[in-house]
Amino acid sequence: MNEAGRYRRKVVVANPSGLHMRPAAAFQQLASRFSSSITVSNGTNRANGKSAMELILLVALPGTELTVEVEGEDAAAALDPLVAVLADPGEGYG
Amino acid sequence: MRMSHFVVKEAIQPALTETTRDGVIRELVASLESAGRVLKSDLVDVVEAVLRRERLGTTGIGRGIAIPHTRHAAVGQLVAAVGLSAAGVPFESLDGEPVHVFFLLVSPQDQPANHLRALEHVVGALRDDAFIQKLRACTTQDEVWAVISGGTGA
Repeated sequence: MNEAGRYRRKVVVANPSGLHMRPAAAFQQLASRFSSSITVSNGTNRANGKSAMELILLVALPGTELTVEVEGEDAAAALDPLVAVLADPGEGYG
Repeated sequence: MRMSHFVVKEAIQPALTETTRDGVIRELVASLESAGRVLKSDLVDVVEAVLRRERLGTTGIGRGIAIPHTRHAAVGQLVAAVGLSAAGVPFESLDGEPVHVFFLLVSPQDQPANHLRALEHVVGALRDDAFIQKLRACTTQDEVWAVISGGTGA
């Protein structure tokens, strides 16, 4: 799958500790493998998906609905795995 | 919540002596113990918990900053130690760069939302280049405390 374009999907943060450092770091590491621009928003707060710092600053508590937007050459391939990081209940705290 | 509400002044190390990841984590937890915020009997266990968390994935968030942390019954409220290393410490950071500024957080076990907000405060402050520069220029506990409790990032 290598379709260019612009995709957007809503996802609810499933981690019981919210979007804390470990999922934020995992998201950054995954996002950085794609050339597409990746944005995560919590309401009007927007974060560059390639920055764990910005993702933490979204203060996404468990149950928060976030919007993931990807735009670029590999956008279609990026969307599913990125959303999966946020939808992952994880192993709890960290 | 202000950073000065959870950073323990007596647990600020303006010139870390340790030069490795595990060494710095031990030094910072020990400074919380010296400051009377972690019991001596909990010291080893807290160090181990922070190291265990670090092994799951680096807290070296980039730009010379690391925020090692754990949730532990040793504390009843969030406490933080701060350490500076002029030389930098290898930390397998997200950007591959050595770490110069450490904020080590220990939070109570039952307050994940508070932990996330504390993380937000620390990260928000550390995102500011001017704040980092001011912090890294400090050579004493008093100077670090002044930067943390006043001005940007507090």
